[in-house]
Amino acid sequence: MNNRLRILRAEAGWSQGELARLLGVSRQTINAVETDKYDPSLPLALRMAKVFGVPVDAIFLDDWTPPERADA
Amino acid sequence: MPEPARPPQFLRMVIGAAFGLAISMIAANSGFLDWMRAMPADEIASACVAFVMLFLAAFAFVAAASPGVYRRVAANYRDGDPVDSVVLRTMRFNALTLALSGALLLAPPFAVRFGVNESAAVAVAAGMTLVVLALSWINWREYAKNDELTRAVSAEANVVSFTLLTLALFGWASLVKLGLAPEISSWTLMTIAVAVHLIVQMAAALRRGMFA
Repeated sequence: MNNRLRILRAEAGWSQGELARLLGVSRQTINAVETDKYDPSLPLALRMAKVFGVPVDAIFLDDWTPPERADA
Repeated sequence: MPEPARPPQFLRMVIGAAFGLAISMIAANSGFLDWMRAMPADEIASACVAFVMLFLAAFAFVAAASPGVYRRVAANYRDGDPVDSVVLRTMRFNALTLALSGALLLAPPFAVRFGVNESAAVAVAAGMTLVVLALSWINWREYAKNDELTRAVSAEANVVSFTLLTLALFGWASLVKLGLAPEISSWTLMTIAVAVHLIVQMAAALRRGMFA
């Protein structure tokens, strides 16, 4: 899933290691999320949103749209 | 404090090649290769897998020697970036488990080559049991401390290697039943299982960018 984690981290002036320590995960986890090799769990995504003070969907971008319902 | 400058890449390649040549010459002249040639194929295969594990363990031990060395080994670390002591400790534990696993894989065939009698064989088995228990305890302790990426990679690798091995074993066992393939020894089966697990574990870690 595409995400803006690298951009937000750069804006905050943190290294991957610093962000990892704030979130209680390894630096590899931050790197894997930033390079789109790993989608974090919901608790970790929520912690990321809290750390940056933004909603989750401002970090993780998803272009999926729900199919139109027949009764709508 | 600034990091000491690295030698040029060409020089590092020459040093690596000279080191490899020296090791192979020592191995060739020590009679070790002749000794190994006398071993059955399944024991040679398991020894090769064990040596790969010992080599990886040595590499991990060296990489975890200090924050400076670790920064050079891992990508995405700039000079001066802090390296968490937990990262180095985890890497040392991983190296220890790899080294112990490699030693376990070497122990039975080497014990047989050295011609152990029955009581010595019981002692080897008892020693191996203790090492397996220690390994299980270390792995469990480390697993509990791992973060979600490491756990996900571990789960992924275990599922893939279990599926691959079950399918391969089913295929092979069917061919043996049908008289189309020869029986394989339990040691061959175990060597294949360890090798597949090692390869799948590394592939899963690479896929998730864990060496970055």
